[in-house]
Amino acid sequence: MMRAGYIAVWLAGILIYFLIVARITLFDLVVAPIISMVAALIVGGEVVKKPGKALSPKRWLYGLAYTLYYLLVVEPACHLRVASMVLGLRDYMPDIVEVPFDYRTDYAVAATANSITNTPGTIVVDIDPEAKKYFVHWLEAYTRDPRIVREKIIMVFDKWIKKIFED
Amino acid sequence: MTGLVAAVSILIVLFALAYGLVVLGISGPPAPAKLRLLGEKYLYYMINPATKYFTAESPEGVSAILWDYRGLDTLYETMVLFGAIIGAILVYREYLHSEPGKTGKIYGLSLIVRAVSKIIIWLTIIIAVAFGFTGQITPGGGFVGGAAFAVVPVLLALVYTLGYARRLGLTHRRALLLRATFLLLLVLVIITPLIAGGYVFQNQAKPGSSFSFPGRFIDSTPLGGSIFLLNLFELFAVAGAFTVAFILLGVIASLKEGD
Repeated sequence: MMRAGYIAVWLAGILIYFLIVARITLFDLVVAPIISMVAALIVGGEVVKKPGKALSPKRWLYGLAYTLYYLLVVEPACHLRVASMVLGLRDYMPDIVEVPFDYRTDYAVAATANSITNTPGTIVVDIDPEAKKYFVHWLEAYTRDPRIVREKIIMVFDKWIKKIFED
Repeated sequence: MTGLVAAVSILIVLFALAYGLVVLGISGPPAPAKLRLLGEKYLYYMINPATKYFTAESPEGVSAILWDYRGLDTLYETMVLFGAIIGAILVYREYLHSEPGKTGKIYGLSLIVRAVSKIIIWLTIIIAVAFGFTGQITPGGGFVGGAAFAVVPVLLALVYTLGYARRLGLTHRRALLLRATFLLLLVLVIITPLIAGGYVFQNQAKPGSSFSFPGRFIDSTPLGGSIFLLNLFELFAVAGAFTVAFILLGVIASLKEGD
């Protein structure tokens, strides 16, 4: 089981190498597996703990679909929202609110936090992993009710993130 | 006793090198009365007001090449090293100024930083090693790769703990062994032509020696002869050397903090 994790990281590393050098020659085909092997031997066991998940094409597809949805739909919508606040067309009430989450994996916690921070209007300023809470600076903090806050801030990402990293 | 052995062996190596260089001429044929084409070009241009668009106004040829003719390369080489150091200082500052969490369990950087750092560390290793392997066809090379690799133990130690880096196998003993092994391989590449009847540090054929390191890979990708091997071995030697330095620094820092 452990070995499969290293293999997953090794294969992904070979792909990364070709994305970086952007050429395929026999030389690259020989050196890429060696280069990726060095990285996999050092951190392979840490990067991937559950190889079954890392090697699942269904999760990759969800990851790709989420990336496109995030960049093409969620991001522009949030940009427009904040832009209208800047132009005085929309009210705002900035405050830091607690947002509960229920992820089990660190990748899911980090991915959701990054999704929140990268969209305009919300920034994760701190995290309490024990109490499973993000502390989010929010431009529209009209409520502090954890259920509503959670619904408004992370439910957009939640179902995708869970399909990619959890379940 | 070991001190005496070390001192004597250093003396022997020094004398052998001096004898080889001066009397046997292992570094190549003695300087000819007439300059070779490449040397002539550099000497002609480096301090020559008559060629005002080419002169570096420096009688020191090596500096003229390093900081003028290939100045950008030197700049970026320096930037990689300092980038690595700045990154280390930044992470280290976060580490020093963070308070233990409410439970006292989480010390240092947050769960988010740690999760993302895992991937960054992995990518850093791939890029650093790729620098060393492809230095003869793309910018980078052994030293730059080694300097980039040096960030890895720093990140591991600061994002997680020094003990964690040790569990992954990054101990200072191993790093020393890595450095020594690849330094030895570097020396081997340098003296191989000498053993084959050529000159020390020879790459391709020279007057009086037809020895050449293989210049092309099977698919005719340029290998640069000894350049490929020197880049590769320097990568791991430099990575090992920096890793030793950073691990020792980390130990000193954690001792000071009473960690």
